[in-house]
Amino acid sequence: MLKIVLVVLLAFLVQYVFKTLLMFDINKRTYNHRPGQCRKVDGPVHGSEDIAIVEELNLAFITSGLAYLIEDPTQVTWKGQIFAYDLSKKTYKAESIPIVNLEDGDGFHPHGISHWIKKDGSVRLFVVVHSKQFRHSIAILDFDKTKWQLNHVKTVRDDKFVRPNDVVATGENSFLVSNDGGAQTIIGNAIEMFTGFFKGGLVYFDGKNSHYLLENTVANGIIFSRDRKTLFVSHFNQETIGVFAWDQKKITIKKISEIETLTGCYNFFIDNEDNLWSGCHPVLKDALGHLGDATNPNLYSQSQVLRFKFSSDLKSTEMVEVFSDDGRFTAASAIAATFDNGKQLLIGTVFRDLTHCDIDVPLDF
Amino acid sequence: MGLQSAAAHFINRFIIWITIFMVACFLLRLLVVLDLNKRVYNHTPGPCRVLTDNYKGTAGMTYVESQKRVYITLGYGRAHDLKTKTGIAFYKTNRTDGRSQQEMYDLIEMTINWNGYEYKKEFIPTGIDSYSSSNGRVLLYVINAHPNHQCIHFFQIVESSKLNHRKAICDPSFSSLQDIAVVGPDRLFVTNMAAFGRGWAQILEFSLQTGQGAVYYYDGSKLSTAASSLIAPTGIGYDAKRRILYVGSMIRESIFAYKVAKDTTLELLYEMMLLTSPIGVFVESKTGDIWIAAHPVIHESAWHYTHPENQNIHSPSQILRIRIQEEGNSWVTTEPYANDGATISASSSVVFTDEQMLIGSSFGRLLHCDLTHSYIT
Repeated sequence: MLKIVLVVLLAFLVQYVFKTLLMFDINKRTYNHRPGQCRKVDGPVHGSEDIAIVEELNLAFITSGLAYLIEDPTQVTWKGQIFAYDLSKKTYKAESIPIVNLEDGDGFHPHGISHWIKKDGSVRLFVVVHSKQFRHSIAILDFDKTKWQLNHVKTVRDDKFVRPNDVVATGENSFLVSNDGGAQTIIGNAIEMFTGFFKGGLVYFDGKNSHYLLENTVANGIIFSRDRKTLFVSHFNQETIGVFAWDQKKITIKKISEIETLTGCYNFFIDNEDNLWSGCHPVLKDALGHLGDATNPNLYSQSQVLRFKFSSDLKSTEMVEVFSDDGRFTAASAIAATFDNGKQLLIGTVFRDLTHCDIDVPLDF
Repeated sequence: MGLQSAAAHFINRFIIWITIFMVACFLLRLLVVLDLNKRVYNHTPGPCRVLTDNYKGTAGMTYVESQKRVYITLGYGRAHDLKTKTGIAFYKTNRTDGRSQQEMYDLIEMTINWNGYEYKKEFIPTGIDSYSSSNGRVLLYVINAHPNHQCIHFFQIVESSKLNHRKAICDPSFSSLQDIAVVGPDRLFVTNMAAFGRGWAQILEFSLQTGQGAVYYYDGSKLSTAASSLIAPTGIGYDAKRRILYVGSMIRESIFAYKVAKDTTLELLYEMMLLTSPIGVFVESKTGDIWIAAHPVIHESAWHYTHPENQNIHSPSQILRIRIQEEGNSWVTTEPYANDGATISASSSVVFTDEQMLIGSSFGRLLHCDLTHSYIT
């Protein structure tokens, strides 16, 4: 009897070690390639984690200066900023926009970003914000084009914003927020990762109240399709993308499919043709090393830009790898966004700079 | 008596647990080698097109600079019981020789004068290499992968599109010939991938990773072993300028670099871990860059090789380009091409020249790509 128990325990241990080894991608690496000429964009140096492209203004808003799972607030020596990048010219220079009326300027470390065009045509930004003490909130900012500044409108705090990562706007005051886990410390996050009991999820905020749409999972990047009928959710640790039907009237989601990517995809972008773009981390062990000690220039992790073309029933997808780098040029890609009819590409990173590429190779073949 | 019994009991249990531990480690290693967490994400370096879909295999290629031609072996699939024509064809890489747009992508099949060779019906060409002598004579050396008749065939190119068979070298130690690299006139290295030629015996050999592959050297009259105890050696390529021989290992997912001494003995310089299974090796003579045609996901490749007749069972294709720096102390790897198998399955040979690339596969198509940006990133 004891022998049987020991053999079963050993079998469990072997399969657990195997799954953990595969989860950490010990047998993977990237091989570099680029879709055309690539250059760094002057401006963001401490992160370009998310990008919101406002086509109406030919402008990209880039969040920079993320502080994440910080145990010692004094380590955070960088400043949180939002950069604006003019997409109509190849200036390769992004400038920081001043933010007016922030409650706590020093506690502003932006993460995910989304935009909404208000009724009067002006742009409203929704930004996931962490403080140095790793407190979480959603900042609502209005873009004043004339004065070239962001006016702080409101900060939303909620118990259900457990560990927010990304946000997607559904109205002038309503949005969806993804939680990428429940732990507030590095140790807690490691426990969550190793045990597989994730505490993240999806929260809807209607302007006054919040409620859960998904629980006990990892939700990283979130975005709607162009027609706002489909919601895409990145399950980073599971290396899948969840595809859900979104009902704006009932505020409900229904699962359509789950796409297995075998790479950890971060934030999303939807292009003119309704293709999904994402910045991914193909090798998890290197990503953890880099993200755990972001200021160490000797630690970097791989970047990967994928474009997903979905079938009409949204149950399968064709993946094209548009960009791949071992990290020496672009470390830890988090977002990829195209513009200029798909001829140009912006690649944002979690804790490093911004890359601007031309796309000179065919993506449909 | 009690003491002896207790000691024997302890040793017995110790041996059992050591055995279980070793089996567990073996299983872990086997599972990791299978690449269960890998896949390929499609991309091309520029516009691509299929040159031919008419042969079940375009597994070997070599480039002859003096003629601006790529010679391609056809029909490797017959070695895996597929019905297909076999032979050798060439592709002209010169785009400015006055041919029309359509003619530019033609393959020209060659006729073979066998000069009385009695086993010509058992010719299944795979690995191929060439030697251009100073008097303009071009010699081709071709691996015959027929299960019952593994040989190295020597040809000379005559009258532009004809091959004269000169001789064949067959040896009982040839069980799984893969690729060939020529280092001089009738001087060549060949890789023998496994002790068992094919089937489940070979799969078991690969699973156990017993390392029974070898590299043989032929000096014009005598065959000898140049390197032994290799784990599944596959592609082989020679850098004549730097006298370096590159040998790919399918199971180790690496490339070995050997210095070829004056007496053609091999001295191991370094091993380059690719984390993908190299099948074909091409060395650019100008730059010394190494181009690899690889199978990036082993379990899908194994499935594809077991069922080559099934069009729905693909294997991913991958082309790598490696630039060696600092005399082999470091290298930069780029991936010009990758495909999940829908366009080209199981890439096994590659040639790059003049901003264009040819990709051959084990059982299927030949692909031609233009490289919009062929720089090393």
